[in-house]
Amino acid sequence: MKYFFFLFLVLPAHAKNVCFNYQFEGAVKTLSGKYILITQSDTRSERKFEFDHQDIPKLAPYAGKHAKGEFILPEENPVSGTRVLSLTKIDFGTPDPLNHEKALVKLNQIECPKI
Amino acid sequence: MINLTILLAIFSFPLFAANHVAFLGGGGEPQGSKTIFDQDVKRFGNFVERMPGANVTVSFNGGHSGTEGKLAENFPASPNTPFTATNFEALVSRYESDIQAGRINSADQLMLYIDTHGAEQSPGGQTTHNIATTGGSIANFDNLAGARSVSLDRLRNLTTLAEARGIRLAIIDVSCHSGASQSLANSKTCVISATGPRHYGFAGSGTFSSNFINRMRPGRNLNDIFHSVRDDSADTDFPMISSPAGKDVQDQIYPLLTRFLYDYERNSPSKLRGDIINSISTNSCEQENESLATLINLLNNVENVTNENFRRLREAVSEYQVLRTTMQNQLRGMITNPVLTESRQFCHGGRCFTYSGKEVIAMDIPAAVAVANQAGVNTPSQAAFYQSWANTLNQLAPWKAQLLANPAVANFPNYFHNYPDLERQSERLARRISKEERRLYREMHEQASASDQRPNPCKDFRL
Repeated sequence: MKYFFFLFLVLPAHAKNVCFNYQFEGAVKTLSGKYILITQSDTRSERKFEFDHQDIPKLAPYAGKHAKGEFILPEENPVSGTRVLSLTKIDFGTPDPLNHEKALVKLNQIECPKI
Repeated sequence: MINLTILLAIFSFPLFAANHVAFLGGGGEPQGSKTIFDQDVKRFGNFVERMPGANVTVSFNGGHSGTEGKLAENFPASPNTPFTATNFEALVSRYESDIQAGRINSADQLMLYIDTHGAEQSPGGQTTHNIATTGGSIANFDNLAGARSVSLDRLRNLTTLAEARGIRLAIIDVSCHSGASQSLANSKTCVISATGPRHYGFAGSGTFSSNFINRMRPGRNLNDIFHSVRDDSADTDFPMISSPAGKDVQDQIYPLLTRFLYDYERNSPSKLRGDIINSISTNSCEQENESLATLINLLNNVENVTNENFRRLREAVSEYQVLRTTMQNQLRGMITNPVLTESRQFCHGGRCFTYSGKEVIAMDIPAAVAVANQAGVNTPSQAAFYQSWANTLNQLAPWKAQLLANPAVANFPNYFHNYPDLERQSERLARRISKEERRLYREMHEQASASDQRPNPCKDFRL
């Protein structure tokens, strides 16, 4: 009984890595032999995202095209060059230059996946 | 007796009727020194100069040095306060208390001129729409995401007070989606909107808003000014007025013309594309044909049979409907074709990769193989991963050839180039329709107002 209470009190305080689910729209491009995603390209808010090797095959059909989907990032406010932890959804999209807000939408906070 | 009547008429009104004018807006713009509203600041300044003695309040922009410089230059007697939610609230409250205290009375008139960005009406009970205040920069012109904003629902109480006290009130809203403000109209309040509730408005010379300010001259009434400028621009907007005859015409034709005024270049592609996707998902293509038939019937009824006034409008809407059907068919095929949505798994060396038909048909397989072969690897397991992937990519070629041989889906790789091309064709048609719509509106309005005896607060509001 004593040990049960010890666990109950200590476990919730254990720090977990925090990640965020994002919805994205952007262009997939090949740069130096790698696929990257560029959101809001050619604007002051342009950001480039790099991917883990596990996700490279998922990006291949979208090279040179506009894509939309969801990915997991380790940061709340990602900067250009942030590495995507996991690409969870991807589909074809068409550019919409006036709706920049769709480029990157934070969905929810999650525990970071193990990759 | 005549002299007595004249004297009674003179003394039954306060001797000093006052014009109260508020110039509001200039919000939602990106950082920088200038805004797209700068020319309107100058135009409205010229209007105020033509109205000596008017009580002018300016609450505009804030944070753009060039625009603020123009405000100081053009409104030397009316210091500007930034257009924030707090200042908007203070201004509306001040007018309300001035009316309640009789400082603004039935001999006076009050004009609110709103020149900023505007959102579509929000679902969930809003009766007008939100307009952008200063601070924040717009990322989405449909819902003003990224900007700060206030709801014009806040003006409802002011319109009620003005009506109860017999004060003439004009709300001129030249923002995008400003048709949503028409609901503020009542027997004493005239509302003029630069565009319909589902369309963008436009700024700059030659547009409805700039022409309207230029024609605002002492002695003219708002009804006449509106109708004198409505025909002068041919943007894909839909200027509206709350006069009874104006409302009759708008109620008849705006719902029928709404979808034909969506274009690619001047409106966001999302508005046109969203409307097409919505028509597919709600299966409303049949309704669209019925609505087109209603519009054609209406044109036949309005026009003089011998001169076929609206032949060009009939042709343009019919052509646009054919284009919409092409867009609907192409998107429907792309969204739902099972050949494209089918997924298959390809494995090698214990690793499997899944691709859909549309991914395979769109993929540049040799380029992907090159990426797999050139990938920088840090560990043996990464090297094995890329080797497995390169091998499975080579297995995709027969499936891709099969898909390209299927005429129903072979066009998919070009969809990304072709579909926006289709959307761009809408620009030319929408502008033609907009130009012809002006003539239709004028003719219907002349017919509707010819023997109209209903009170018209827009006619009663004389500058």
